[in-house]
Parts: sequence; structure tokens; C-alpha cells
Amino acid sequence: MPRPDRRRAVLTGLGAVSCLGTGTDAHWVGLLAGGATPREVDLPHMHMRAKRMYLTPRSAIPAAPDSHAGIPLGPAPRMAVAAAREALADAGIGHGDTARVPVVMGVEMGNASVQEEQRGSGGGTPPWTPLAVTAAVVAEAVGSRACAGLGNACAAGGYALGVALDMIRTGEADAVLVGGAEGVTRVGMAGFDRIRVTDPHGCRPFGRDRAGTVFADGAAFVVLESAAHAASRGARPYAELGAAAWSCDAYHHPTAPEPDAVQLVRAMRDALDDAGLRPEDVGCVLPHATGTPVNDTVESQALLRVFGDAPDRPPVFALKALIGHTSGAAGMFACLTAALIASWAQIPANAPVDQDPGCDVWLPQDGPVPLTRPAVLVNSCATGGINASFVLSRSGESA
Amino acid sequence: MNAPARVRVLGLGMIAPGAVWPGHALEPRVEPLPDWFDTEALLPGRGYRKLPPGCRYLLAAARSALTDTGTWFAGIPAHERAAVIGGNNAGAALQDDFDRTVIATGAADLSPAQVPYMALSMFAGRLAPEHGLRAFSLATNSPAVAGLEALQTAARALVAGRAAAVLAGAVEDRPTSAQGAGAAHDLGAAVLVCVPEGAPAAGNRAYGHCSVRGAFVGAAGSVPLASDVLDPLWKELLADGPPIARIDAVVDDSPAGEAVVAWLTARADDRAVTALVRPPGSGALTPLRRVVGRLADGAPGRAVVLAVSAHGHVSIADVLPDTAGVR
Repeated sequence: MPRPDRRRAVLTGLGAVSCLGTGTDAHWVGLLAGGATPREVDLPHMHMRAKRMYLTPRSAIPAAPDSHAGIPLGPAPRMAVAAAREALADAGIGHGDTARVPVVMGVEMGNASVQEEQRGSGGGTPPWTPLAVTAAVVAEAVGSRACAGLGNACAAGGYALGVALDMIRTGEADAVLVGGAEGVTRVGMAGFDRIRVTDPHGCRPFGRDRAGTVFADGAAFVVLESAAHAASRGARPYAELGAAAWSCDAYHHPTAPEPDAVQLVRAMRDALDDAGLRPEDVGCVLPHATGTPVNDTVESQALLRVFGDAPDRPPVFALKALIGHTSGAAGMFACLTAALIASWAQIPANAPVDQDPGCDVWLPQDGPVPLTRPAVLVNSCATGGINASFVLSRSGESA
Repeated sequence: MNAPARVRVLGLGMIAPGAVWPGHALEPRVEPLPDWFDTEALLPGRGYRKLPPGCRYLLAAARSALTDTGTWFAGIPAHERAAVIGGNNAGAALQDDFDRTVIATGAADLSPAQVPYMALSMFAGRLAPEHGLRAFSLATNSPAVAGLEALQTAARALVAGRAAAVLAGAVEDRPTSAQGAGAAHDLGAAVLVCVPEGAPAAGNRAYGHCSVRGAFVGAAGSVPLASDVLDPLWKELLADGPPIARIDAVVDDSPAGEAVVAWLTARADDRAVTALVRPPGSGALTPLRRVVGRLADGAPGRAVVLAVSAHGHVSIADVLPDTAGVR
């Protein structure tokens, strides 16, 4: 049972721009249709081994806003504005009511593409400007009077959600616009290519032949709101966010996870405890599952420790096999997808994969399966041993 | 809205050219000598020299701040220790160098040891194995205000029970001169060891107490008027307690900066105001450095540290030095 002494938080609005197109409907329909396929990145100087991404169609990338504070904006902040506006509209929050809705964003590379474009075109060394401008761009566009920027690499979205939950619980805000957005960056792809954690072929989490991740661009937003505030204005929640727990491996290797996953397991268990749920209440897990050989093995072992290996363990939905790894936005795409799964009570089919016997998770591939228990657990992890786990429940079923 | 979360500060660390001690944090900035940061003296041991400079500054500042607390931190369970570090520019030179290498010869010529530091959050992340921080590691990155934003985020997380002690800090390294860096760009790191207000910490004296609120006034600085946003914030943050003795304003000459300065001028009355004006994009260390300085210098009286970005962010820190506890 949720603790009665604190405010409960629900998701009342969703918005997305991704390789599946514009809008939450396109995202859900796209997932049910089997997701997207990666394409070669159309940038000059892609001197690396793995050159493909799950790319947002050009037609889905808005042209505006094209600058903020005199700084040109790349596609990522522009997609963020579109997704944020969709989430607010979906929640029924009009422009006149957004002043007291803070924007909290998980963004790491942010506006990097603008400087890369100038370098790549032979335009000399571009002047450096801070990359994490996206939250300000969104706040300006929607009329918010507060914004915060968090960068926790590929777990940034999971941490943005946790900060927003704390803001709701402590009464700092009644509603928070939470999101993540990342674009195409040559230097980001090259760096991960150099340390051999990207797969030139495709993103194949838990696959026998997986060889790394495949990145993606896009933006995902949710409106997180106190349950009482949502009820007072008649908003219909998609799901309740019961908890968002954090941990850190503090492991000596900068890019490898803690081999025994003690801290990832702790994050998952803390999330369930904080939400007042048991492992048997979980009907679906969205793992971090990047397709990286070591990370998928470690995460599957962590899931075994939390959920066991019984036939009734929850199915796993490996989202990145369908839309790629949106890096700093990945946690928010997982949150949005988990909310849709909870709302529709349906889990899309996983992308077909020859499953690694060393990754002992239930990965339904033959078609969508029903969500038969109320909760969806999401993992959001990053280089540096950064972990976040959060739990969504079908609205009204966790009380 | 509720009153902002407040923290108690038990330790301070400061590393910058001419300010390698918290007591020097209010000193005017000086240009660094080539060997201003002595890695072997400040970070003895193996494995530090190959880290990016910003990462070394942060490790040294954190080590200094924890030493300042004596043996207390060692008694905090690892799963209750955390860090929140803000910054804007610490990876700027590395990103430029990486991209130029890819363009010229390809990804194969990148340094694998440096790759994780493409992400600014990795600078904060490097603290975790160093000090056994297993509650969480988190980076904040809003232009200009990320250092104060780290302090605000740390306070919120402590109130939420996510940790028992948080290292809140800021780190910056300068972009290259070709990227437009100059003497105004921040260089160095600052770290505050924070615990929840009222938490027992036997044997520890506190430097004081801090809370931070943030706002957004828009890049044009008139959303619709800065005062509409900032007046309630000012009132909320500073409603109770002793009068404000001094105000430090870290601003730029952008429309947002000018709007906030105009607003502040109308409210400063006879308080001592120190305005630090610099170009947009100069980094997020200076505002937190002022907080460190106000806590460390032992002067009585409440201080406010305010920072503004050209993008429209505003952060206001309320700093209450505990003069009885200052060492």
C-alpha cells in the first residue's frame, strides 16, 4: 500500500517525437507494429565502424524554435518543445496555467549538434556554448517559470523523474513537466564506437549475437501531477508513479557495471518497497537492456534475483530493440511506454531475437501479451554505475 | 509552495587558481600559472594524472571538503552517501578535440580512457568509487546556475531521504581559446558536505545553513516581468530569520541578466551588493564559490548569492553562516 502520509503522484499527460514519428499515438502504434529499423546517419565525417541510428524522420523534426538567447538550436531542443506541448495538451493544462509547472529535464549532449555541424562543414572552431539549454528552451516555449537541468548520461531521464517525484511529494510543485531529449551527435557515436559498445547491425538486447547498442534521437515528456491536484481538475491519469529509487555502483571501472549488480538490485527492491508493492505485483519489466553484452547479462541476473525464475515471473519488454537507445532521453521514453502499457493493459511483442541462454528472462516475441498485474517496473542505468528504478501502476490499482 | 529545503554544511573544499582554500573563495579571481594545480601534492597516488583536468579539480576539492569533516564521513554507510555536482564547460575542450580527431582520422584514434568524460556527468560520477558513494551520483547542468542547482537538488534529496550526506559541488574547466574561452571563464571546483537540517552529527560543528530556490525569467528577461516571478521567490526564500547583510550577484550582460539586476537594485536598499558581471556561458562555479566563501570567511550575517543565465535561469541561495561554529 502507498504510504498514507505523503502525496501520491500520477501521470496525466504524455508526449513524444521519435523514430516512430510524432505523437504518443504514433509511438504506441509503432511499437505494436514492431518498431523501427536503424538507418545510416547522414552526417559528414562519420569515420567510425557503427554508423547507424534509429533516426527520427526529418518530417517529424520541427523547424522552430530555431534559437534561444541568441544561440542556434539543433533538432533535439526543437523536438523537446513539440513533445512537451503534446504532454501539456494531453494533460489538459493550457498555456495560461503553466507558470507554476516546473520543467525538469534529463539531457546530456543537448545542443551539441550545432557545434558539430559547424566543425564538420569546415567553418572553423565554433564558439563553445553550454550544451544543456533544452530545459530553458522548453520553459520559454510553454510559459513555465521554473526549470532544472539534470545530466546523468543514459540514466538522466530516470533521475529527472525522481527529482520531479520528490518535488510533488514535498509540495514544492503540484505538477511537473518532466522530459528528456537528445539528438544525433557524431562525437557521441564515435566515442562509444571507440570503446566497442555499439553494434553496426542493430540493437538486440538479450540476443545471443548482440554486439552493443544502437543510438537513437528523440524527445519524450510526461506531466507528473499530485493525485489530488489531478482529481481536482478532473484529469484522467494514465498511471501512478509509485516510486523512483536511485543507487550507484561506485565500482572502480568507469564503463562496466558492478558484476554482481548489488546496487541495481537494491534500486529495484527499494522502488518496490517505496511503492508498497511486492515482486509478484509486477506484470511487466522494462529493463535498461541496451544490447551491450556484459550489461544485458548483469541486468538479467539482477532481474532473476528480484523476480526469481518461476514460470509466473513477469515478462520483459526490451524497448530499445524497437526504438534504439535515446541516451539521456531513454528513461523518459521507458516511462512513457510503461504508462501506455499500464493504461492499455497490453505489452507489445518484443523484436524477434535469438535469445542468449545466459540472459534468463521471459521475452515474449510472438505477439502482444496482456498486462495481468498492476505494476510496471522500469530500469534506467548509465555509464559510471548510475542506476534508477521506478514503478508505475495502473491508476487506481495500487491503493 | 512549501519552504525550500535547507541543509547544514559540515565541510568545505575549494580548488581554483589563487583559491586553494575555502577561506580564499571570496578573493578576486587570478589567472592560473601553468602549474597551478599540483596533482602529485593534491591527489597523491596512482591513476589521477590521466584524468581530465576538471575531474582532478573535483576530486581534490571533495577530498579537501571531506578532510574538513574529520573522521565523521567514514561512519556514514556507503548506501547513504551521495554526490550532486553541477557544471557547464568541464568537457568542452575534450569534445572539441574528439570531434576534430574523428573528422581528421576517425574514431579509432580517440583515447578510450577519455571517452566516458564526453558526458559531463562522468565528472561527478568519478567521485563515487573514490569515496564509496552508493546512494546516488547526479549531475546538474543548467547554464550558470548548475552549481547552485546542485545545492538545491542535494537539499531536496536529503529531505526526501535519499541519502544521509551529500557532496554538493561544482566543477569547471575552460574551453580552449579557439572556442572563445577567456579570463572570465570559471576554472576549478568547489564542494560542500551537506546533511539534513537537524540531523545528528555528533562532534561536528557546522559552517552554516543553506537553501536555494530557482526560477525562470526567460531569455528576454521579461516573462512577463522579472518581478512577477522573483518577488514571490524572494519572499518565500527569505521570509523568516535575520536580515540580509550582503548580496552577491553573479550576472551577465544579457537581457535576462540586466532585468534581474534592475529588479535586485530596487530591493537592495542599504545592503552591501557585490556584482560580478561576466560574459554569458562563463560557467557555474562562481556562484557556488561565493557560497563557500560566505560560509568560510566567518563574517556574521545572512548572505544571499544570486546567479542568472542568459538563457533565463535564476537561482537564489540563502546562506546563514553559523559564526559560533566556524573553524
